[in-house]
Amino acid sequence: MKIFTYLATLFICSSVICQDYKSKFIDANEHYSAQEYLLAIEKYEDILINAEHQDVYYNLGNAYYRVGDIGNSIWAYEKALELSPRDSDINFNINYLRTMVRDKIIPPNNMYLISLYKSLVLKFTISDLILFIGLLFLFLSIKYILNFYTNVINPVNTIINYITIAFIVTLSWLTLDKYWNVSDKYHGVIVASAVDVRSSPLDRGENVIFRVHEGTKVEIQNFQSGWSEIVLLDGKKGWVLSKDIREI
Amino acid sequence: MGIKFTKAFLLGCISCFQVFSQISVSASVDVNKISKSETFGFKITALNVDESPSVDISPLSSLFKVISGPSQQTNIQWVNGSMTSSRTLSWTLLPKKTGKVNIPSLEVRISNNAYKTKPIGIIVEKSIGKAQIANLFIEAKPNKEEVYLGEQVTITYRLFTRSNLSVESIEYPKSVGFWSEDLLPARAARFNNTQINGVNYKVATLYKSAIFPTQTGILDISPMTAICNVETNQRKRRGVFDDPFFNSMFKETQRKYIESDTLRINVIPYPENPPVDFTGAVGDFSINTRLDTLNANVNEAVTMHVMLKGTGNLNQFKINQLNFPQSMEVFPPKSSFTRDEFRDQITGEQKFEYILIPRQPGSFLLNPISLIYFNPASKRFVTARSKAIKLEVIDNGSSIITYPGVKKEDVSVIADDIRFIKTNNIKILPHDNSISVWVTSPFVLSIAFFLIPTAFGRFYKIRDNSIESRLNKNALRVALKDLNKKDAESLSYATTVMYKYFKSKLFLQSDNLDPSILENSLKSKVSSSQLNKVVAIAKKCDANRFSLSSETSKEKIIKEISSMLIEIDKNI
Repeated sequence: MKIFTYLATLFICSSVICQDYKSKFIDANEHYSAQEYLLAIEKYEDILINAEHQDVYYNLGNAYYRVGDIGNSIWAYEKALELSPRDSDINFNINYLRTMVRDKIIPPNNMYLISLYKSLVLKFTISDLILFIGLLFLFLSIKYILNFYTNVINPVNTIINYITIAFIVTLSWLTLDKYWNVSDKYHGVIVASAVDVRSSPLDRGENVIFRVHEGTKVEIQNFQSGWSEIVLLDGKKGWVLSKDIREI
Repeated sequence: MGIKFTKAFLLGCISCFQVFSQISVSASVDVNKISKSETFGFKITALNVDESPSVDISPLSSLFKVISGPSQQTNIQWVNGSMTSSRTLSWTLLPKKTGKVNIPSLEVRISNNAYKTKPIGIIVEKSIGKAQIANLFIEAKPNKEEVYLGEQVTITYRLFTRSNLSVESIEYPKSVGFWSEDLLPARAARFNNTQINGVNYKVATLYKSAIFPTQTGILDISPMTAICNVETNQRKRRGVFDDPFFNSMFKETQRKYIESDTLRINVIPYPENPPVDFTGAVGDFSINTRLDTLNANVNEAVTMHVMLKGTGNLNQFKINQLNFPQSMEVFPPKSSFTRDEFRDQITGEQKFEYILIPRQPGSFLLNPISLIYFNPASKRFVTARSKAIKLEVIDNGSSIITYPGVKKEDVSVIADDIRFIKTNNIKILPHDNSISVWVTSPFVLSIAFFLIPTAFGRFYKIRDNSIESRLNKNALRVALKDLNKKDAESLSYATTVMYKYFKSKLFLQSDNLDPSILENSLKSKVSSSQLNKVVAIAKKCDANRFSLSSETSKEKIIKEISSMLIEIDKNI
């Protein structure tokens, strides 16, 4: 009985909160339509403190773009892409904005298979991959039941089983890899218009090694009292002030 | 210090006073009796001024034409320690009228003060300059003075002179209501010798133009004007150089302004109403068409050349829209014009190139092209016609079916922008890293499916077991009950009951039991005396099973079986 009451309160609370988010979202969209982009940004950011949805991130990206903040706009699109990597609108907008980023970073040339693998990993979320594995398992189990009661031994059947199992193994590897990527690596987007990258976490004139501009996506490797160590796609590495980047 | 300053101030005051008192403005001309085509100089002189005077000469524009000016001149003179400065503005003017012409009083502004000049009268004579004009004049000569609308008029401008001259600048005639084309491009005048009424002249053709009237009525062509530098052999004072040898070195030149007469052309309308298809062609024309091939494949471009040859206002009219077969795609024509340079009448060939793409096979007749033009010589409208051409189009199999009239084009991108926000009705959930039910349910389902066969197998086994044990438990009761039944009279029945009991009790699979099997099964479970008893009874039953023994022995055996089963049941 206690548990039931607890669940009921949780359910009611969550639905109330949802309603609150929804009204805020509609409000923010109205601000956007009225070209009050700064107000819209405020509302969207408010929603995203405690909740998340790809559409909210997407709209926030649009609003940031309208006020000319390319760095934050790309950050929002990256977040949206993480939640819904195959959404055509998000992909269109982020690709459009990427052309406006000043830094042209050419990643080291990969083999075709590796780049194919990477794009495959990028295109699916962990949930998607787990769902695929589950469906394959379901397929196997249904086949098992049918076999059990019909007792037909068929070479084709066996081959199908092996293929399915191979798929399951591959997908499991992809999932693990993706999980490690998400949990171990931090990424960020430069939000300041131009940032000097230094060789050490010290604000001194002579240790600037290169400069990046807003909208560039970087990997964050280390944090140290207000400084973050970043790595560019082509392997360049250095320290920037943490306030100049926004973690994805 | 004080004295010095006062002195300077006083000096300044005096000098200022002097300057202001002496400012004077006067206008003058260099000659006051001229002929109509002669220019004269007009000067405005301001004395003792520090800045240039500004003059509004607009009152002069109706009476004179400004040939050059204003040019400015400053003069400073020191005479007996006193300075005189003068500034002069001068113009060269040409009178527009003859007779007595008054140069009106002009307003001259010098540092916010206005001064007026005195009017000057000059006499412009018609006759006095005749000899001069005869020495130098421009002749404008049209080849016709009455033309039809669109008919060509050729005007030749020739410069006649008796003395050496160089042409400084030419202002070409402006003609309103005409389309003009240069026949002789303006170039440096080249002089030939000629005689007019026994007087030797040098003559040069300055300009030649073909004009085509675009409206009817009496039209004026403004005169052509030229400014020439004419050499004059003026006798100089006698001196060292007064020798014919030096004549060529001391030639003076005089700037002269000359202009031709105003021409008047009478443009008359056509004698009859023009036909509907008339597009304005006047002259004499012939029209011809040609295809670059007479046999073409489907979807292969064929060029059709339309050649318009003749004399007249070529290039100023259009040919009528051509009608091509429906299944032919036609691109807008390219037009080119080549002129015969060596004739005064505009003559040449105008070419139109149509590119046709037949989309269907067949035999097509391209209609003749006609052009209606007005022939001024015969004073009537004439139709020029080309010949019809037959075009064979063969289907070579590679035809792509296209529908005439539908032209597809790419969607042209005007500008790039991001896409609009999403306003779907969405459900926003708080941060939650747990995996949703949708993702986990296949796993749960599949595990369930894997377990189903095993689970079912177990279930059936347990149920089977329970039936046997139930039989096992109730075996004695069932057996005694069966033995005590009224109809349990026959011995074989009693035997069956006994064996059934053992089967249930010992979980035996076989239905056909005999004493030896019983003995083997019971060996380990009961004592040897009991075993012997059971075996004995079983053997007895088997022996008496089918014999008809007495009732008493039968009952006795049944009782024996009952007591034996009760006894045995305790042990097994």
